[in-house]
Amino acid sequence: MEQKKSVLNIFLLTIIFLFMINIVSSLGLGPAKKEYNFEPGLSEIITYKVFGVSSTKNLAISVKGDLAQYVKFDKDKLIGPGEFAVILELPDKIDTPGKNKIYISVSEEFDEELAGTFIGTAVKVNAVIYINVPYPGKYLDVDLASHNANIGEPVKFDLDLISKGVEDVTAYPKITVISDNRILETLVFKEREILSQENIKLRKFLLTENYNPGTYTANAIVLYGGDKPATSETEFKIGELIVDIINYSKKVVIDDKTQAFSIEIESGWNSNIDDADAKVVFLDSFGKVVTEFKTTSTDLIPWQKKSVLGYFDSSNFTEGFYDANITISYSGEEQRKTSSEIVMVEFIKKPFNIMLLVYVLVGLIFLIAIIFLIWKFVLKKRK
Amino acid sequence: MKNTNILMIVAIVAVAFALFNLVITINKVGDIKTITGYAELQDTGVADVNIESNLVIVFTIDTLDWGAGHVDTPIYKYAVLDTTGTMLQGVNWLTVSDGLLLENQGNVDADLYFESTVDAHDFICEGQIASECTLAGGTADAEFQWQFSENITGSCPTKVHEVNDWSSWVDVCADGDATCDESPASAGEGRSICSDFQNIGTGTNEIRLDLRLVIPSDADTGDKQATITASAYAV
Repeated sequence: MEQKKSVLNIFLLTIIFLFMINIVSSLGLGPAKKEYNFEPGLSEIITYKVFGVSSTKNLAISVKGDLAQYVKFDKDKLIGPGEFAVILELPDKIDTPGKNKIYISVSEEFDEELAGTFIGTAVKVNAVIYINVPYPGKYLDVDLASHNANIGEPVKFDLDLISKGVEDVTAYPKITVISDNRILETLVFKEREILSQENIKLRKFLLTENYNPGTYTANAIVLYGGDKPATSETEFKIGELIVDIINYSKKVVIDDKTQAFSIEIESGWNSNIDDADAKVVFLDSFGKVVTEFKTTSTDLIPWQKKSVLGYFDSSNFTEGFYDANITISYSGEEQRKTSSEIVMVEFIKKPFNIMLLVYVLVGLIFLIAIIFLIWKFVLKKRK
Repeated sequence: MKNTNILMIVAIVAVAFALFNLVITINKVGDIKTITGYAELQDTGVADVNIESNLVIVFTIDTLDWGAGHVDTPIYKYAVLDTTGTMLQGVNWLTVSDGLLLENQGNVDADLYFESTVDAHDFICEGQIASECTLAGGTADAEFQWQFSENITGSCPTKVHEVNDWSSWVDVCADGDATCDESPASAGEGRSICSDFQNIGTGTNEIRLDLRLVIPSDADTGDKQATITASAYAV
């Protein structure tokens, strides 16, 4: 008997032992991205590192994509982590202008000898090499990026210009700031010579002292001698230290239990806001305070929406609409601010619980059935 | 040797193995960190740090195993197993509540494709002709399906096939099935699932893959294996 128990224990321990085996599998490859401008006969050697994989794992190395025929490897297999070299030798001419992609693939090989019933996994990672082949004539790509700011702080615009044509261009960049389909301001850059395949990055700042808080559009327009100007659009926000109420519990059930009241708030500030909470005061039709309570407090990151919750006793209310004066308090820029809004909340009777009725009816039927059976039993006994 | 001594030895070996496993895990994490760039302090001079991009894809749950079991015949004609805790009409199979879990631990986003080595028939009814492996009296053959979800909300802002593969059980895309192959390069790598699998810097970088099997009672016994391959392209 003791022998059997021990065998069982060993079996259980073996199972625990098996479950302790590390089941994490992974495959990493770097660099994940490389980018080259096409040059006739361009030759490059790129060293790739394979990592984060078991030291016994068989890995296959391969290439695919638009220009795969111009790629060679120093090896096509690896066992576990290691390095391999990719030899890129481009021809004198490529007929596909634009961004050509070459994928360098490393994949786990399946272990055909494993037996058993299971669903396993394998990972294949593909690093990309971009080869930018110039377009005929003049071709300019533009990308505009902006950042949000608080009122009074400058808004930074980053303008990225890439000449992707075989011809050099002269660019005349400008950025227009737009609100409600109206151009508010135009920022003009100096005229720039951009060589074929050259990439230049420009920066301008917008002063916001005279702007109102809100969301604006910035549109980069660059004349460069092409068929039409190159353009790029972005949105940015100018913030003020304010927390707005964007939603709240519009209906509350009259009940003996404590009721929750939720208020969704949104930060209009481009910095963190601390300790935002709300005080809610319910008023009757004569403006007399029925009840008041405070909600939970929360911190807000820039432009974040969040909900705060408060609890109150609704048993003093009757059916109908009540005014609620919601005052939001919050801290930012070393000051405590408040903003108030009066909203309307409807108090409703607790909805009739149909399930309760069903339970009562079923209970009654059951009771009647028992009484009937007892009555029959008593009658039978008397006879 | 007493039985208690045997037990003690096994326990010590188990603990030692667990410690060894921990060391290996820490070592693996160390490997990944060395690639992400690390600036040493210098007395003077210009700091010029170039953080190289890397693509690191990890299956943190990479194996599913329901163990050995069978359809509860003659009461039922088939059994249903999935990784959301379902084990219906079967006997002895384990309940599995965790799907495969994929993480992007690199510093670039990835375009993701998934493929299985086998379809439902080749997985469950391998070597059988269609009429030998059906739900007796029914019309459906064996089923091998998947369904994707974000394990952390925001891990895949641009879902591909959102109304199918992300919302319901869909037949897996099997190797060699050109009708479901959507990979960007010429080699077939299966169905496109997520075009911007977020990198580790976002903190929202986990996708879950659940699997579902319908096993007919007349499926041949024996080992059944399938491998799901995740192909990630740096974007």
